[in-house]
Amino acid sequence: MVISIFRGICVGIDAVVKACGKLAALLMPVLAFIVAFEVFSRYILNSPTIWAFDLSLFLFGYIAALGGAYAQQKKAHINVDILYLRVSHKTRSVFNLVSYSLGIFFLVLIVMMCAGKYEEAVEFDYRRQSEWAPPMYHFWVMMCVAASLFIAQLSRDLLVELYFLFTSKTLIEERTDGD
Amino acid sequence: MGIELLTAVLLGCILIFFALGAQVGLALGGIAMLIGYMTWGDGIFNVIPTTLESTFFSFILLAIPLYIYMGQLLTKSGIGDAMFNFSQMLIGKVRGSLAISVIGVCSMIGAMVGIIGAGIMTSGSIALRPMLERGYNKRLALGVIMAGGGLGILIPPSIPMIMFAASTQNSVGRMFLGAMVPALLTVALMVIYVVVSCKLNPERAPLDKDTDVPVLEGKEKFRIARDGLFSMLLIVVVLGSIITGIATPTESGAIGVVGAIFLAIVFKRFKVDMFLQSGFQTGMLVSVAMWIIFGASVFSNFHLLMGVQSMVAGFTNSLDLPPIMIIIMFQLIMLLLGFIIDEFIIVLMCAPLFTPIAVSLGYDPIWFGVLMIINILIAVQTPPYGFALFYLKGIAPPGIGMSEIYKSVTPFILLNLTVLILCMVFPEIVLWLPNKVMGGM
Repeated sequence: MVISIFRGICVGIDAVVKACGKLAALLMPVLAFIVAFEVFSRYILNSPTIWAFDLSLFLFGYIAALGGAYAQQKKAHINVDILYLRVSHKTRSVFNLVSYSLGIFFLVLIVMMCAGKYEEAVEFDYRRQSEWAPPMYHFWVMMCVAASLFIAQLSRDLLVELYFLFTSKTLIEERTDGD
Repeated sequence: MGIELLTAVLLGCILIFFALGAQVGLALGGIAMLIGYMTWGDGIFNVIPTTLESTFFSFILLAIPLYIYMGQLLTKSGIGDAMFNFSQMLIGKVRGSLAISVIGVCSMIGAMVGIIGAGIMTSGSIALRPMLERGYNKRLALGVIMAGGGLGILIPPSIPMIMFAASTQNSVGRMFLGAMVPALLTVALMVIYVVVSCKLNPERAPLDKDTDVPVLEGKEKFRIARDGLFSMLLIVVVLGSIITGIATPTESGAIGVVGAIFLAIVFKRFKVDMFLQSGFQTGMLVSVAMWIIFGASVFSNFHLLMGVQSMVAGFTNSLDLPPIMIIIMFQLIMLLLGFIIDEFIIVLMCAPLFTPIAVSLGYDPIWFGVLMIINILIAVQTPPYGFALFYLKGIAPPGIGMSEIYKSVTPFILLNLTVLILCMVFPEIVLWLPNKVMGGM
């Protein structure tokens, strides 16, 4: 019973993180076209836009931050694996417990600080300092979401490692499908 | 806690967490904040939002996703293969032509992909099999793939160079131009090495009359030439728009993306699935890169705030060495770092620390940056632990041991080292082109 709850949590987190990561990546062509459009607009239409600069930076932030959790799910984050790959599975699980905990600590700080910045941004109506001057608050909300997703993914991985350490069994089959 | 002790503690923690295989970005940020909290209090957490704003709202760093995207689109749509075929069509009759094509094309692909690991993987997947099938010496085959794929970070547009420029407030355009001559020099030396080595040991690169130059129909020939030429034209346009000042490096990345999509459509290589996969892959690589940049920037901002800059400056002053010795010392430190960590982190950690000192000694920051990039290029492929070696091992056919890999890369490392020393002794190799095109600083 407990195990199936655990599995449910894992599957649920995986699905949400994957969906967010893929949705964020879909913004990639949009970002490229906006930056290219600015060049087009400046030279061909002779009227530089006021919005392309800020909009492209926001999109960049969204793509980069929101994909972090999905990259963790795919184990794509870079690590130094000289020792890591040579130790037994159990030892590796202990290693992961330590490093995931540090990661979660850092991410919790990000959520806290960004939540503070969000409140400030709403209270004082902070905006980008440019002609277009779009509001900033949504960026901080997005950072909170991105860091929280990352925390969820790391916690899910932590759960899997703990389960393995205590029972020597894998909690959930890690899928290795290509995408 | 004094800055010396603090630095020792930070480095100790980094070593421990890196050995544990922690995700680099999170580990660097986490360590800085944990130690910062213990020594300074929770005020230090304010580094997080300020660093977030400076990294995610950097128009220079915005070039990274665009170049990665262009590289993904070009390689996934098979334009990399097209360039390889084109090169073979031109020089197929020369002994060792495949190896030369690999250096030329892989360095182009590496340049487009912009990251060493991805450059080697992509180059290997395109070019290793044809060389081995034709009976090339395994060492030669693996060596040129490493050399070509790794060169990507020295050939603009290069992501570590963008990072260097962003973290030291230098012009990306100048950086790109500065690397141009050293890059061409390296490619030329490598090609000469391959030609000479194949002349001396013909068995390393058999000339198979039947397979080396397949007889091509006129139509086929035209298609290969068209695809190859247009792909190269795209790179010329991207670099040209930066050099002529028509577009910023970031904008020319976007032009490159649109161009790559356009080429794929025109050449009937465009598929919706390919388009989506390139986007997903780019999103993933961008996240990985930006979380590292963010974590490493939190770390280095904290470390700078604590006064590491003056510690390093004081230390180098107290050594009382001639300036060039200090530059050499920096090179050695980066070389050692390259044995364990990858190119992004070396740039992000060393550039803000060492560059101001090099400038205060009277050196040009662009020159120092290009040296740093060449240095990293050497470090990551130097045995026993240069991390690029493991990428190469990953794509090598089964049965090739690590010692074989070491031997395969050695001649090319020596060539890179030669270029590094040449650039160090004759700074004009680096500075001539940027000064010529963009004027003196």
